[in-house]
Amino acid sequence: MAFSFRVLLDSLPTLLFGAITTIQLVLLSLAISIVLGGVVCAGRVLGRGLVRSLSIAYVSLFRTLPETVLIFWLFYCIPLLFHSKPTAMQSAIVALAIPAGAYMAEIFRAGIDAIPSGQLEAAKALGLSPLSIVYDIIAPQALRTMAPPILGLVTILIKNSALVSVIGVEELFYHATVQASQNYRYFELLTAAALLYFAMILPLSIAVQWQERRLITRSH
Amino acid sequence: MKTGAVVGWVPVTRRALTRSDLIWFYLVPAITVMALLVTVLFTIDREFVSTLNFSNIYIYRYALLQGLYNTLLITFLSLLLGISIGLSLACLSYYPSRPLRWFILAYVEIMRDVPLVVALFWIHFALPLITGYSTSVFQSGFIAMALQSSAYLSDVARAGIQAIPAGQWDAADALGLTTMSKWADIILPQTLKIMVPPLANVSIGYFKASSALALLSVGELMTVGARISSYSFKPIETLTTVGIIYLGLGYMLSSVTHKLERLVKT
Repeated sequence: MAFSFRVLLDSLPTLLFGAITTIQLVLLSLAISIVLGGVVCAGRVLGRGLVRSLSIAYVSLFRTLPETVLIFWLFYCIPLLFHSKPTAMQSAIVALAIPAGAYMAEIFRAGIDAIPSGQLEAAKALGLSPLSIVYDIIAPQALRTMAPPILGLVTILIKNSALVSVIGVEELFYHATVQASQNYRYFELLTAAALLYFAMILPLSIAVQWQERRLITRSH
Repeated sequence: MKTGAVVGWVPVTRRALTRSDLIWFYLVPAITVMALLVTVLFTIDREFVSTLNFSNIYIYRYALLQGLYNTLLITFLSLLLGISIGLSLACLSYYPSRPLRWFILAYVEIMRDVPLVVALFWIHFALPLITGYSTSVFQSGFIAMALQSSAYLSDVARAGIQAIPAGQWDAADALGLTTMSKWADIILPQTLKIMVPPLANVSIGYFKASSALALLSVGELMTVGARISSYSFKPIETLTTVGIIYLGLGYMLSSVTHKLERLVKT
């Protein structure tokens, strides 16, 4: 079977439509994971007792649990346990956001950890207000070290978003497999899907490597 | 650079409780947790929860064990091939040839920037159209995981080679060793030792990631879990059990990794 560009052009609009859903999924779960990660990181760094151990348990649980298991679990078990039936899209967003939140918490913690303690002491000695300390001293430095791992997490989210096709979320990979199973043009459609994922992830991957190199040269 | 600033700029753990600590670190979290618990307790279907019976899963123990065996087998085999390809790529990237280096760079980037399931389906459905040889689902899963892990492992191997002190290279050259002997006797043995901890981390990552192969029903643990849950109409019991198996093994593997890290360091 020869490679047919016609098939590719015919199905491209559907695939692009799926790619938009993929981007929506990633952005929404990223937003939720930032909130979750912030809360869990605060619980781990600032909290004591139960709050601290719950935060640690959250991070280690969802870093170890495979994403596929969580995707299946949330989609099939939540409607049985509760009388609400979330849509596939909703449960996919939550299933992607929960583990991403655990990774985000670790990224935040590492970012805060990387700031030399002298910075805070200096800020305090200068008599800056707590708000000013966070916004002018901590945040700019922490953000610089956190940018590469956060971008890396976004690439992981894009890759994991292909998994939620299994519960019927109509994203890029779902459209590719469904169309391919209808016209048996697996080669064209799967190559196109792979290229689209590659096109989405490559700029981020290059940005991560560029920033990491810049951070290394800066610290020497 | 001095690190470990958490103790420095968050001195909470070192001083007496103030009223605002009490509010923010005890009252607010306690109220939030209570509110969540109450919502769950009032919205959960209690009648359904009382019918949950985890002992039903015991019937499927052999199927689950078979799935676990397949998961471990495919992870082990694909990492074995992944390490060989990764190490070869890392060594070849030292060969002074620009096209070769570009090829390796492109290979690593393509393998890293395509999701595992997409690579898996491509290998299973699209590749046979070129090669004319169709692979079984297990073989496709093995190839997909091996190719993807080889990209990550070539980075790990390259970092390992770079970590070897320049004196080792100079000494090998000064002794007049051949290129072959320099790599085989001096560089690679030390590289392998440095590679152990990151390699263990990649292994845990692929143990987790192998669950994605369930999208093609490769027959590993997640496939078995999904099959049992749709066959027995008991998703909660089955999927929770599968999750616990993954968690238990994942924790075990990561504790082994920590031990290995300590062993390698000393």
